[in-house]
Amino acid sequence: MLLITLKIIFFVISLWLVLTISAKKIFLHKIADNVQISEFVAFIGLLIMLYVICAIIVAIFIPSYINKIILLLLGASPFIIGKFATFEKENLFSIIQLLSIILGMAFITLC
Amino acid sequence: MSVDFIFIHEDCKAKNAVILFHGMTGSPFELKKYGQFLFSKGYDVYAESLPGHGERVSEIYTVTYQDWLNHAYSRFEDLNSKYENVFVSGLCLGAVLALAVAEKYSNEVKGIVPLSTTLFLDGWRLPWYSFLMPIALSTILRFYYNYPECEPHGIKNEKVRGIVKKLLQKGDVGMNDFPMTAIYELLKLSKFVRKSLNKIVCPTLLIHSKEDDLTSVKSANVVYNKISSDERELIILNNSYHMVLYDNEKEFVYEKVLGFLNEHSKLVAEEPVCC
Repeated sequence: MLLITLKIIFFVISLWLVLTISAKKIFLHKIADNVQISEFVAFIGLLIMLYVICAIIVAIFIPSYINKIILLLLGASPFIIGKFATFEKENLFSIIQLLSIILGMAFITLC
Repeated sequence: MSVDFIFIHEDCKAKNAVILFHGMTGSPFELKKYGQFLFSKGYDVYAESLPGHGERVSEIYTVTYQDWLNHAYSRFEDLNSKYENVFVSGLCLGAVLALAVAEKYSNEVKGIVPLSTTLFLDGWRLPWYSFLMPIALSTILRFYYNYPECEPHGIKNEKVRGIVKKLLQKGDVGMNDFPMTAIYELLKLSKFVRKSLNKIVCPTLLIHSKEDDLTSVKSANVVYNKISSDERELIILNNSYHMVLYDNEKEFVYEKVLGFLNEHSKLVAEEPVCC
C-alpha cells in the first residue's frame, strides 16, 4: 500500500513537471513580467527537488536492484541532463528532459 | 552605444595605471565617476566592457568565466608592459576578477582594491526561493531563469536609486536582470578564485558594505583571512548597499582608495633599484 501511494505521488509530481516545463517553453517566454516568470521557474525548481526526493524514496521500497538503479538514474536525470546542456541546444535538452520524465512515469506505472 | 572609457594623461607619461572591472550585467558606466576621480588625481584609468556585456549583450548567455579571466589577464599584461605600477580594482564580479589577476600575477600587481567582492550570493535581497538555486544551476532551469533586477538596485540612497532605476529602464547602463547562466559562471569563477587566494601577496584594500543586498560580508572576510598579503585592510561600510561607488559613503570610498593607491605607488617608486 505504501509503495502504491509513493508511486502515485511520484507520478503526480512527474506529471506536474511535464506540464510546467512545457508551459514555460511554449507560453511563458511571451510574458514580459520577469518577476512572474522567475517565480514560475522557481516553482519548477521546487518540483524537481520533490521529483528527485520522491525517486530516491520509491527506489528504497521498490523490489529488484535493477529497478532501483533505473529509478535512481531517472531521478538523477535533471542533473545529468543539466551537466551536458548548453544554451545553444536548450530546446533539444528540454525535450530530452521531458522524455526522461515521461519515461519515468511509464516505468513507475509498469514496474 | 559604447560605455567603455580610457582616461590617459596625454601631457606626461604617467607611471601609474588602474584597471577597473565592472560588475555582472553592469557596464563601465558604473565605474565612470570613480574612474574620473582617480584620473583627476593623476592615475591613468582603463575600463572596458567584459565579454558578454556592453554591445555584445546577447553573449551573456554563452559567455564563460574563462572568457572573463582571459579578458582580465590580457588587459593586465597589456598595461603592465606600459606602466611601472598597475593597480586593479573592480566591483562585484570585477572584484573577483581583480583577485584572479592578483593570484596569477602575484609579483607584478602593485595592489588590488576589490569592492563588494561577490564570492557567495547570500545577500538579504535574494528572493525566498534562493535555497533552490543549486537545483536551478545544476539543471536545464539555468537557461529558463533570469533573476530580475529589483529594488533596491544595490543602492541605499533613495535619490540615487531613482536615477539608476531610470537609467536601467533605458538599458544604456546595464541589464535589467541577471541570467542564471551568468550567475552559474560567476559561481564557477568564485570557486576557481577561492582555491588560490593564498597566492595573493600584493597590498589589498577590501571594501564591503555591512548591508550589502547581494553578497554578505562573508565574501570579504573569506578573502581577508585567506590571502597572504602582509598589507591588507578590510573596510566595512555601515550606510551603503552593494553599489558602494554610488551610495551614501561614496566619497569615503573614493578617498580610501586614493589613499591606498598613493601610498603604494609612492612606496613602489621609492624602492631601491637592485642591480
